[in-house]
Amino acid sequence: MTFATFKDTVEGQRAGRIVDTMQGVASGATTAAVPASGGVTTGLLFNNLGTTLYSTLKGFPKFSQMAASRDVRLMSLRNANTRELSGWLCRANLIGTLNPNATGQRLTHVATTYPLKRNRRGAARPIRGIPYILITTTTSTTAFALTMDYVNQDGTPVIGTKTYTAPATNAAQGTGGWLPLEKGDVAIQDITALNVSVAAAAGAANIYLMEPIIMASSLLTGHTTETDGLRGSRFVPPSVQPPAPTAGVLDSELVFMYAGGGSTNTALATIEAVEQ
Amino acid sequence: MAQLVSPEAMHAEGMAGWEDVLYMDGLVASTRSNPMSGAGAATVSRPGPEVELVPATLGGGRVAVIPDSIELYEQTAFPVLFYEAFLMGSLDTATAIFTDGVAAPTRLAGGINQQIPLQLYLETDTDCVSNRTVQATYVNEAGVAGQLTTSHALTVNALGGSGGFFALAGSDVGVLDVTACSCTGGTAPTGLISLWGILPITIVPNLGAGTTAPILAEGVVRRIAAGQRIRGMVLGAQTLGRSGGTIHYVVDTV
Amino acid sequence: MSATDRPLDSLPELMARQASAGFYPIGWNLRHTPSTTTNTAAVPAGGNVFMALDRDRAAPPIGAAYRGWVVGACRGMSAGGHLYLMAKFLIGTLNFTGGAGTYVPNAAMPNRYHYGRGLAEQVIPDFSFLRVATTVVGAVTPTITLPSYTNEKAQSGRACSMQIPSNPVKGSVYALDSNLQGDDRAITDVAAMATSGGSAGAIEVWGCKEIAYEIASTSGGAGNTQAFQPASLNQPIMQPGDLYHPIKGTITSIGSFIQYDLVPILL
Repeated sequence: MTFATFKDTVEGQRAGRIVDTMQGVASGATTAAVPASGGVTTGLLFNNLGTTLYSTLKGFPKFSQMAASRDVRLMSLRNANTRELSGWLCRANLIGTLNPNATGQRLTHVATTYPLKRNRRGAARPIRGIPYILITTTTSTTAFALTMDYVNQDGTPVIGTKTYTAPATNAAQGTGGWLPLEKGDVAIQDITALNVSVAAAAGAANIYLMEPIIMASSLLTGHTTETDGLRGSRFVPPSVQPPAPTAGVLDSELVFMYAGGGSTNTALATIEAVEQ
Repeated sequence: MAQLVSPEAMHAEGMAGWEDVLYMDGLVASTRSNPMSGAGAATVSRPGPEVELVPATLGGGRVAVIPDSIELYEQTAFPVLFYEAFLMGSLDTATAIFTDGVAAPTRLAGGINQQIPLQLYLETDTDCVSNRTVQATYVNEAGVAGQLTTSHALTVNALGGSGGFFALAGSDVGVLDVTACSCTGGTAPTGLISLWGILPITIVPNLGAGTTAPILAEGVVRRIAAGQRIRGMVLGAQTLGRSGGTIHYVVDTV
Repeated sequence: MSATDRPLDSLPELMARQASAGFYPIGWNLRHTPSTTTNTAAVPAGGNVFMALDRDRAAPPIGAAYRGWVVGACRGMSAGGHLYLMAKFLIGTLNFTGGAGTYVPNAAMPNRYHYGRGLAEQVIPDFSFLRVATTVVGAVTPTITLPSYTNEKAQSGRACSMQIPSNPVKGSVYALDSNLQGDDRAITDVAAMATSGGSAGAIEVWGCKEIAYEIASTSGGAGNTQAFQPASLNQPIMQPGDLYHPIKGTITSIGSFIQYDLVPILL
């Protein structure tokens, strides 16, 4: 049943409510970004339950690997970080892994077939997102550099010319980055290649299509940020179920992405959602 | 179908799937300069995030979107102006050839269709340095043609992505069309310059931390046409910074 | 109809008006010419400072079914100080011609419908400004005298005076409000005006109604005005041709930008 009115959505919580918590695991200090590495110091915040940093990464448990066929909407979110940072509740959709320890094309794309889709504007349409790199094994010796080939927000394949350089020789585990896009592009539907031009001696990374669900910045350390999905900034509670892959199984976790700081960060959060 | 005219209606339409976001992204890797000169202090600015085009085909024969929320990340802690952008012309400084673009749009305003005068903004697409003088010829808000902006001396080392407002003639306050733009003097390197017409949506206050601007709830009502370009501009600073975020919208029913 | 036509009162009404009639969005880059004005601490001692732009913006044309425009959402950016969006009306001009000068009256504050009110009433200024229209020459800290003005209660024959700096440049603005007679709050008309000296130049008397304002800290212009409900809950409904003017609370030209939506009000 589609909730047509505010009343439907509010009353739908009696039977359709999903409440979940994140008791976050500390991220560790991340390496600050410079313009050559995308310019934004960023990281992801995961749930303690089920997570082993940085090999097994889990978000809100009830939303982990949830079926894309479900229609679940964010009603409210309360979160606090141990740092004052910009932040989003995000779907981290795994594109693949990067091994930067040799030159050449070094992305191993997951078997999942992209683009990912959601019901938008009357049809199942490709979603777009931020091309995100998360260092999972500390790099060493050399700050690796690469260019990215991708499918842009319009579905057009692009051979990238902008170089992303790891923010340091030893980029710490947990260091995230927004990979650079060509002039005129603002998002991706997929990444098809990561061409390493300068290799590191060690290191590994996960590559995500990061889909912001709603902004949830922590503007004061330890102060709870309250986000109303129904009557806050927008009048349509955002979808929190994963998008649907074109084929295969999608690794998609509901996590926090933060921007602006490199010190150890931990999230505490409660999410309330309703299922249509 | 009547247009959406309430939060309740926005909700219903969005819950039925008629919603989406526009992504935005931008990286200014080093401080830009103010390429404009002229009497009086110019509003310091630089391009902010580029925004995804409103889809040309919205589906269901629909023609416009209503944005309700801007979620902005812009590292430079200054306000960001979001605007509908109209490319009124472009200038190749190598040849001094001006290529005309579009005129200011005609919109329903106050019950009548009328052309909306725009602010005129110069932006270097590529590094474009060294002592060029640029002057635009335009039609002012009253429809008077042949008006001349201040003759602006572009400063040295105006890196690509530098921008500034043209100073308009006399008592003029807006531009309906740019009919010419002269470019004289200068040395290598040459480059491309865009002349953008600015039709504001809103200014988002920004402290350099992620900002949610609930624009519709604050009374900013816009129906943005399919295919329209929206851009961001940082006001008051030209320092480097990364930007990103989304603009959420519901598709109008007409 | 005007008394009940209140599209600013709620979001559904605002959205309905935008759908049926369309708003007129205005963006305005504010460049001050000249770049500075003259205002010293002597006039008055410790007094508040203001600065005008070099141009007005006229309210645009409107359809026959509508009475005029009010300002809806309004935002501004300024590198420091106050930024006001005013409805501005010219009351008269004092030309400096030697001696006491020559006063040329323009018009009393006009009658306009105001938002939510059902009849046309005189617009009462929030600020009564002296604005230097042409740089003054040959005037040593002149005293500007208004020996006969009308106040907000329609009482005529009121008198005030104000000393201003020597030879103020075009664009300088001085607020008369703290110099008015008795408890007067505003000037609605000026019958006579004189100067104690000056051989050339001109000073206008402006009646300004504040519609929206912003206060920006000097440290970086994260400035914005309130939106949706402008500061003035009793806006005059502006006719096509009525003038908007931004006034700043500085004497040094600072880059600013203002944007506002004009919302049409039905007859």
